[in-house]
Amino acid sequence: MNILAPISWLKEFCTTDFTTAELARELSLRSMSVDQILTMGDFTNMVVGVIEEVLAHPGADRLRIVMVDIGERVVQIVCGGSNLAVGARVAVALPGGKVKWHGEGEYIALTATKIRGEESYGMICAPAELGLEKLQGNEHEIWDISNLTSVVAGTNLGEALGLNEEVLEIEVTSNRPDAMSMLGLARELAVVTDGKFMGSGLRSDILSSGAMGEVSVIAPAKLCSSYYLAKLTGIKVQSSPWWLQKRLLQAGHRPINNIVDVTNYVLHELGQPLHAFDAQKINGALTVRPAVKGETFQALDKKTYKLSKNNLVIADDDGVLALGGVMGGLESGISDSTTEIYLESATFDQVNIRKTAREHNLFSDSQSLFEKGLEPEGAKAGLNRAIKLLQEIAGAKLVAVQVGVQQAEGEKKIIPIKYKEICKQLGVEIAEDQIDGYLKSLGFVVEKSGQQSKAVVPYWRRKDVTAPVDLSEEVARIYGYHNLPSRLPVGRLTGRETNRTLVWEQWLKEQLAKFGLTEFFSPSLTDLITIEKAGIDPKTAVRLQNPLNLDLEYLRPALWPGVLRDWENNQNRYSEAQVFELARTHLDQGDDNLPLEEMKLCLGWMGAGRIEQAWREIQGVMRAWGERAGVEFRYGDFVTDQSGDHDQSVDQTTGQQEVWFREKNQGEWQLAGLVQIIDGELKTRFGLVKTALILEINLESIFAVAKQGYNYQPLPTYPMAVRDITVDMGPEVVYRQLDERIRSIKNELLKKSDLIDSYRGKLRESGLVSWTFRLTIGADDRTLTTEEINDVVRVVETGLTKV
Amino acid sequence: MGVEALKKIQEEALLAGLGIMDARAVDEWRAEWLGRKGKLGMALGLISELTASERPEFGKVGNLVKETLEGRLVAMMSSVESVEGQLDWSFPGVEPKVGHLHLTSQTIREVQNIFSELGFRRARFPEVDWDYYAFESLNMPKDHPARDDWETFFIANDKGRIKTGAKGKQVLTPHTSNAQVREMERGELPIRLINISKTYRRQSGPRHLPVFHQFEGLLIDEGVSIANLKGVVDYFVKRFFGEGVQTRLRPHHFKFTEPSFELDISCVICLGTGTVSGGKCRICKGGWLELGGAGMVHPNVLKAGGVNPKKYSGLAFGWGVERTMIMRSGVNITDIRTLYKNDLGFLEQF
Ligand SMILES: [Zn+2]
Repeated sequence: MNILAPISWLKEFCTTDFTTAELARELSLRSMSVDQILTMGDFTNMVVGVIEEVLAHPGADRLRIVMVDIGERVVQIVCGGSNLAVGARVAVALPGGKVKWHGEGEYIALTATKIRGEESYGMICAPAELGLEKLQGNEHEIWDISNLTSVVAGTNLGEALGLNEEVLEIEVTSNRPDAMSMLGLARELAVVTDGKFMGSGLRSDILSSGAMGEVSVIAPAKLCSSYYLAKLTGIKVQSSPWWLQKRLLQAGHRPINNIVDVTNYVLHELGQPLHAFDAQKINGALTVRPAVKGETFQALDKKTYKLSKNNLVIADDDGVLALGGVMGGLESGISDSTTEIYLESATFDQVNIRKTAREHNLFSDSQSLFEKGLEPEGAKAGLNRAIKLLQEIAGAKLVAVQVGVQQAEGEKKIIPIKYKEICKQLGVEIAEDQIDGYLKSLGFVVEKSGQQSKAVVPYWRRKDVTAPVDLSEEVARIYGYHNLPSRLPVGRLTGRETNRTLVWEQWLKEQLAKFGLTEFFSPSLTDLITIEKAGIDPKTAVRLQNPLNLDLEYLRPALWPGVLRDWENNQNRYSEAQVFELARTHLDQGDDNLPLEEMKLCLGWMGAGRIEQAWREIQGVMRAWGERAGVEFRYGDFVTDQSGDHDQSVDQTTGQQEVWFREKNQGEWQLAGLVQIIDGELKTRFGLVKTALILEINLESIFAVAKQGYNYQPLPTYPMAVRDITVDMGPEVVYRQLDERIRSIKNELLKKSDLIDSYRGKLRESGLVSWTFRLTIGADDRTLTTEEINDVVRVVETGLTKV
Repeated sequence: MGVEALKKIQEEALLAGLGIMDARAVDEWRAEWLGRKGKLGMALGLISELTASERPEFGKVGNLVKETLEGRLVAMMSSVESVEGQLDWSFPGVEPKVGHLHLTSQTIREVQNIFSELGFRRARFPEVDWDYYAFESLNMPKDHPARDDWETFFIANDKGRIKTGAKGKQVLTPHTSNAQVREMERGELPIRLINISKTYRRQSGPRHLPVFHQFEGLLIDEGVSIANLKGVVDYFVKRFFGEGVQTRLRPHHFKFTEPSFELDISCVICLGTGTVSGGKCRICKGGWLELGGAGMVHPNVLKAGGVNPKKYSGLAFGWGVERTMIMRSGVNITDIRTLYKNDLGFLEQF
């Protein structure tokens, strides 16, 4: 949570010799991070002006010509303010000054100009035009600052109103509600800048315990660990004095009236939330109790909430007055006519407050503090501070303070100080008395008995500091992490190897990129529509119980539907692409098991114009990495015969084929996945313009047998001859048949045959397809004669053409 | 005159042919050695002066020399064939077809390699895990806000309720720290682990993704100190961001580490000055950029993993991959969602 801390407010509770930049640095390094150093706006070319004359504007009914004394001279400014009064002090933005038009948008620098034909040297401003949106102002009124300052005309406005002061924006971590106040931050500031903390003298006695109305707390002590109520009379509700309003503005609060302002002031100053009820609106005794289910309550935000029995309320005979620690009620709130108040200072349970706030989606400054965990000891000091302020600025008279729940003397939390371990953890030697000094400065009491030292934890750190290791942290940060040495760890290395699948994952991605493919990388959450489009049963997929939105409701059960979805966005700009995605997918495995998480590979030949070419390229890519990983792939359906050989049948009519793999030259063929043509129905569902070819396989078992290494073949001693042959075949012939015919030749001089072309075009009339093979012919022990080579070519030709 | 003379001619001719670079020189070489009045022809003409027994051998060698020189001539001619004047030097280049590893993949690889240099090994952990590993064993009490459903995704059963087992609810890991206790449970010490994985939070916007990546480092050994944590993060930062980049640890708060820190690095844009050409640097806060959290493993977490906190201590850190990557690259990705839209125009830039 970020807290705004005006320097002067901090300095009411501590001394420091540091400049703002210096103390911000020290706070960041040793305590709380200072996000930035702010001021309440830029008051360059802004001065206090005194109105000398208000004249009618000849060209506009609503506008006035105002003669304003700006110190060195009197200038003419055209202004539409409805409350312009001679003698009034006003905020004048001179040419060059920056204002927000109508209190909105960016700051814009003024220039001297003419408005409806009349010279205007700047502008008389309303608060919002100066960027002080939180300051209440009436519409069409300028900001009359006559009561706020008595400086002479021409004084810089920021200086006159004290708004030039620097304010720290500090990020306070959630475990430190004690530092979400000026008091707590001043304590830290004093420690990190060697200053003196002056906030320990706050009054925490009960100021008066005279008689007043009944208060009874019937809530469990856990939910409300302290409850004090002060009755104050003789109240005059009005605007707070400027110094208080200014502090609230700097702290990010909106000044409202003196009563509400005091509660906010104390909240910000001491970190104790308070609430003021209009005493005359209360009927009967006040009770702090769990809400009755279904009970309703209209809060200050004017909305009505239906409560549950988990909520804690403050109620009178007529019903709920406030949702304890979260928000007060509209009915019992402070109004201009309030003269008597009940001022509540209490401690509510952090968990209950958090749940209540979430249940009703109702948040406030008080709730935000309570949910971090406040200690009951703070309640009395907060109450006393508020009473004193109300006496000073609202004419309040204290009638009585009643105790609803008084926290029993808090249990002391005592932690042994283990000097050696602290030094060990920091990696540096620090003297014992230095460690004691750090702890004392933070409010710990150090008790010594013999060799033993113990730290008594101050109440405001009770939830946060609970074990010796927490003391180490306090010592380490005050010593300064930046003062600790930086040393690489020594010691044994682990015998653990990097996870095999992850090594291969990395390797395969690099291979595929090397082969010219582009990697797709997608979030792993997807939607029901994409799953259904792919024809996958959603029941097999893993569904989120609380998705952010329906686009991200499922963990993807497969990669390819997402690849198609994302390609769809590309196809208008790119005619084709070869892409891959390599990632984990998830499948449901019942309630008692975590989902099945598997590494998959998807290859996508998108916009595949020539489908044969695409298919050959995909096979080529698969073979290229398979060879380097010691695995081989086959496609189609398998029937294993008794000898362990595989008969492969390819069904030409379907749009998909199974992908099988095995360890190269050995082992069982296993199903790895599927390759499919995205055409027809699927193409339409995914909105694709062109056909695509998609292969998706499971990598888990492939990586389990993968092996890196090279299979070296000695180079041939005698030259090899290369001959191309072309044969014409009927359209019913598929490559596999020709391949099998060549294989069956078993001529030891034929070393290799590669298909280099198959051509349907010109011979279409005859229906024939011409196939060109490149033969590599040679012998291991001699150079072949031309006749021998030609014999092999003839054998292949004959073999291919015989049916 | 004999066979030796022929062999000498071959030797001299080949020697003379070395280094011939232009067509005219080739012509001259041919005239000198292979021409009608060339040296070889003249020598061969002397066959008539030999005895009948010498002639066959002389003829055979003569033929071989002639073949050799003619072969050499062909090679020379092809090598000096001139393309001068035929090349338009202003032609544009043609790019080779290159593949593209996603920026995130590249970053993960680099992070893994850097920590590997320090002996950290990468292991694999589930992305969907039990509450116990994601929260409870990490010293997060039952009522810790991070466990409430507005920050963490849960898995639904077929009744729409949260899947719950012996180790609690099934959650999508909101951080990579589920690796910590899982790794300790393997029972092997010391530990030097890096876990890089997808992580999930109920958030969305130009700066926050519901699915993003983190990398988590865990080192558990005897006598591990904050000084060691500084050593490790300094090493990473200097290797990843560059030697000149400074680090600082700021106090922070996490439940599973004590002490806890936020690690800042000096801004790579304004070089740590906080100002760019007179104005305030828009990237950093006063010259510092927040990289991520780190800390010393909380004794309760060690205990949960069956490690004796009296004997062992540990350091841990967990940072966002995307954040780290964008901080270095200077890649001006204003909307982080661009990373995962799979637009080829984007992907092909990396
Ligand atoms: Zn910067």
